[in-house]
Amino acid sequence: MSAASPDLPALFSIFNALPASYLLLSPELVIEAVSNEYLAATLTQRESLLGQHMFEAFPDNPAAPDAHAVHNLRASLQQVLATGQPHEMAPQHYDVPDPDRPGHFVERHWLPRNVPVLDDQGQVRHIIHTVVNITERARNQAQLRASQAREQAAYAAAEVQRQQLYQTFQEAPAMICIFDGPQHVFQFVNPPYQALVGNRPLLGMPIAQAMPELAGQPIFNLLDGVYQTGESFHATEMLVRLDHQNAGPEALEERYYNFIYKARHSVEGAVTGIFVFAYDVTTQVIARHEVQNLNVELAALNEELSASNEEFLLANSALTHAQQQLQQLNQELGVRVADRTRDAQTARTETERQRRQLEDLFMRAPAAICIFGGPNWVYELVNPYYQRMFPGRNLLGLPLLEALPEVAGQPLMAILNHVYTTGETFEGKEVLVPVARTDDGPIEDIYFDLTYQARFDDNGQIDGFVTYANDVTAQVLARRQVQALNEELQVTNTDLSGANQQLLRTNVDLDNFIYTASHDLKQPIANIEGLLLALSHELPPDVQQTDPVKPILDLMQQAVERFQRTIADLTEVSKLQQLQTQPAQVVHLRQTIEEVALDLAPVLRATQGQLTVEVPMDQFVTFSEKNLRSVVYNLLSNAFKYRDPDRPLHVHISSSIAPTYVQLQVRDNGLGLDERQQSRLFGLFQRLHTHVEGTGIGLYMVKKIVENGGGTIAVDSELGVGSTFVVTLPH
Amino acid sequence: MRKLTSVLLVDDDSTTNFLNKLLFSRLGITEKLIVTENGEEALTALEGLCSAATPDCPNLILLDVNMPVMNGFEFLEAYQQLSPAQRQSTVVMLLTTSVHQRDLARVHQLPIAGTITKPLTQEKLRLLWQQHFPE
Repeated sequence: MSAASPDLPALFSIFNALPASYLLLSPELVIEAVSNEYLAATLTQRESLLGQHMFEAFPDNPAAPDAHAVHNLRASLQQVLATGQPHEMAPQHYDVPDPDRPGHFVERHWLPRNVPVLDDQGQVRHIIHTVVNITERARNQAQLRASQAREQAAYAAAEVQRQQLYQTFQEAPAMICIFDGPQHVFQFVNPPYQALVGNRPLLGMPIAQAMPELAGQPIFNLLDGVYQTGESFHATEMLVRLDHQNAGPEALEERYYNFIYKARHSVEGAVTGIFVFAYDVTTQVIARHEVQNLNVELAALNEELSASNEEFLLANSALTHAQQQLQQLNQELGVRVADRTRDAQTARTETERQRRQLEDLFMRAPAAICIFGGPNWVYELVNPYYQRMFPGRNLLGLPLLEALPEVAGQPLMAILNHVYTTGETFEGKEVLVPVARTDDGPIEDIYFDLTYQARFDDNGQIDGFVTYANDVTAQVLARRQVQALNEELQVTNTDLSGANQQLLRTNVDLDNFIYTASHDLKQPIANIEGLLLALSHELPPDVQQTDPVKPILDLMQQAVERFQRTIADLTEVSKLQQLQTQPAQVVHLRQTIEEVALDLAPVLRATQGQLTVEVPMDQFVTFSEKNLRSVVYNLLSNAFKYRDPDRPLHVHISSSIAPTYVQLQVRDNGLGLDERQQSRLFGLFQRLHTHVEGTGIGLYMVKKIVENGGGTIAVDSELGVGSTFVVTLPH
Repeated sequence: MRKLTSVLLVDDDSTTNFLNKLLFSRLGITEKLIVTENGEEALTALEGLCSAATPDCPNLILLDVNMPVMNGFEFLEAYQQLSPAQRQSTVVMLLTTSVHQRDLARVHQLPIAGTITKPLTQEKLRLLWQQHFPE
């Protein structure tokens, strides 16, 4: 140093007063001078710093090991000593000792710069260490980062929700798809929707190309309408014919759907696509056709379904908007530091809103949905539809076995265990679950269509499962009732068949009896006849002609003949069995009547009576011709036989026709019958008159024939006036 | 009416047999009238009478249907098994009270010459002789 050395104390006082934070270090890093601002920024006193080694004065804060404060500064200072060049350091976190609390530090962030002071030989004589206190800025930046991290987390949470929603769409037991653009290009389809057309590709294709078989059906027009107007379209039980198996255009299957077409909008409000939410209701439609009683219930269900579907879609659409907003918000958050706190708050609100909307979606879904959480399967969510199956029972917040203790030990538990441990979705139709609908109620056999779907937490671990349940007890019972009725009918049929067999056997027995009886009776009467004949031969001819021998012989002969006729009639009755089995045919009624009249013409002539026939020429009946002839013959011959001797006989035959029957009337002006006689008229062996030949079998047979043919016979008669027989035959 | 050498009556009814024996003796149209009371007795009689060619082998058999032990139908089935020599040229007539419809088909397949409705009378025999035993 020369004598012209500056005035050192004066220099120090200038250094001290420098309007920034400066430190003067020796090459050994001993503090030689310090500015007032440095003292203020580092909370130190000049006396305690001067002469101190830099890093003894400012050691590392053990609480901030990641700062590497001493290490970084030492490296910079050594570089300056080695190169003789200034060095500007990156922002440093270098805490200073807290003068009020020994052992503690105060947070400080710095922007340091080290500048060498060289001598004439270019050797470093001093280092000027200058710092800018950026603690406040650093702190703000840290807060900003934390805020951004929170926003990121909020966004991630929203993304998880979106994923859950997407998964819900994917696994929802309904058909969901999203169309994009005016050509309705499939942008999203969930598996149930995809199943509509088997493995045919849908995504990225316009519907007209992906499902060409819909041409000519209403679907395309409906989609165009929704796209053009933006108005939702609801379909109830719409018939849609699709080629589900890809078996060709002839194999279109007819199925019924309830669905909603809901326009999707851009942020600006323009229609960009269509949301489709559809339920296959074919089973319901068919079930309703089968079981008329379920109609009303089903209609109500469908209405509810439509309403819920719309709400579902509305909630969805709102959710989509909310997410878009959230994304914009997140972007803005990056640049709008001033608004960060408020924005973060908004993001949290949005996330919460989304969660509520998702929950809302479950609560309003038209199927029974509940969520079981945790290893004890606590009811975390029970939607009203689910709760309605167990009116008044407490479910929410309770473990399954506590809420419904009766399910313990049921096969259902094994299914749930499987879902919970493996994560495999369970789907079952008409699963029997005996539970009580109310707390005090009896255990009932309830049938559910069930879907159990595992729920995963953020780490992919199963933390519960979602239940979709549909109470199908009514359908199952209705079907069983139909089955039971069928079985009952079958039993009745069997009974009837048995009774029929019994009757057939009885008929055969009767037939056998008559056969035997008639033979056994014929033998003795033949003997009597023979004996009578032998006796006549033995009597001298003159004796045979004397009184009372002749009348005795005549009466005996008459008695024998009468006996033989009765036996012959008995045989006729046994022939009724064969008459019954005569096949029905189309018979010309008038022709039959005229043929019978011709056969009876000699009898009619003998009575000097008159027969008029008033039957249309085109009248036909379906009946055995032989039997019809027998009926007409008996009625006509009766009319001739039982005429009133006091007036000329007049018999009138007429017919009338109705949609279901043909009526034949035989009216005479003969003897007529009183009421007592009418009641016995159609009985077997009933002879009401003795003055004419008769066996008492004709009308019995007529009645049997008519009734066996599904018809009826009635008589309207007045003693001394005449009788009208009315035969009604099925048409 | 030509007189036959032998007639066999097969009937379990004693009155019928009495009347028929009376009728045949009055008309005098057979040398011998053999009466058996059921099919089995008739078969036994035929075996004795027809094993060799004897005049006692009946020219005519009048056969009742309903009989105990062996009825008319059963008799005819057994009779069919006999050798033609034993059957010779015997005429078999079924003598019945009546032929029930259900028996008609069966009767048509039997080796009989015809049926006669009881009681047997002179007129019925005259017609039979006209047809099978003309002068």
